[in-house]
Amino acid sequence: MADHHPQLHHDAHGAHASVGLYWIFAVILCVITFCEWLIFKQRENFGISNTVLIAALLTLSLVKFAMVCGWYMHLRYDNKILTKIFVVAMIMSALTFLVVGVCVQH
Amino acid sequence: MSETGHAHSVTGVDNRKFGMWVLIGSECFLFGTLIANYLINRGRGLSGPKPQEVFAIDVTTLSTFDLLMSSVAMVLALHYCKTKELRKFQLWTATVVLGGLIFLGFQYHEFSTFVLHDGLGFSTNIFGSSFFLLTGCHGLHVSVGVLWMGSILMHSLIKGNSWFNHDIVEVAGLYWHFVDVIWIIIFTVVYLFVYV
Repeated sequence: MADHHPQLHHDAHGAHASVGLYWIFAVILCVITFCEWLIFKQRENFGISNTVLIAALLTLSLVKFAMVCGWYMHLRYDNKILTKIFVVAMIMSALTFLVVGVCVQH
Repeated sequence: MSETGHAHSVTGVDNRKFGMWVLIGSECFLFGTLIANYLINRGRGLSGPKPQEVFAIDVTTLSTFDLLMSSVAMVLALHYCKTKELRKFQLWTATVVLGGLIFLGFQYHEFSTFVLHDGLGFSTNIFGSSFFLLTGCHGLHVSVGVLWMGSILMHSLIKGNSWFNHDIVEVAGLYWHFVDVIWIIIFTVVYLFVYV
């Protein structure tokens, strides 16, 4: 249960991550960004194909995205309706993106 | 009602916080459309420089680090606002403002290099138009965030311990993190996918 997690801080405003956890995430975010830069710089040396490059960079980017939204924006601990608003907006935005892309291709 | 005297919506969430999430949802559409517009048009320029010829990934990576660290500062500012530690709150809020200003400095450097050195302006070609529209719109959002956080810092400096409005700081923080999240996507899709 999240309420008993040692990395959570509780106060009058509900549960959220502790300062230590925020710093751990900061280091992870920096390491991921460094990895993205490294993959980009070394793509030719390692013979990374475009498909692998896109998959790797998108995955790393999504991990950063989820960490900021989940912990720094407190979606993980907040009322679930806020997560629903955000997820629905992201899905509809992605669908608009795809429809525009498909329309332009044709 | 919250302890600061502001009404909650029927969902049980503070109205301003709920409103900020609705705004963030609508901003997803704005940036989704601008990114789609960029991806469609980036290779369609008939004249002028191409993305591969102008992007400086090393500098953009540094500005990404900067914005990510400002997000860390933001979450720490909110934490110390909740624990009512005034000096630490002011220190981290000032760090957020500084991080935003440094990011805008990076953007100014990038834009001026494109215009003055590479000959890429807003109306040079369709790549330039869509690029400046997307990153300029993001920069405008960062500017609003800097002004917002700057005003919060000024309030706390003037009013001292009597000013600890965590609801306002949380809503401003949501906006700031969202600006950071959008940059995470722009950095990958616009800059790192430049050769794809």
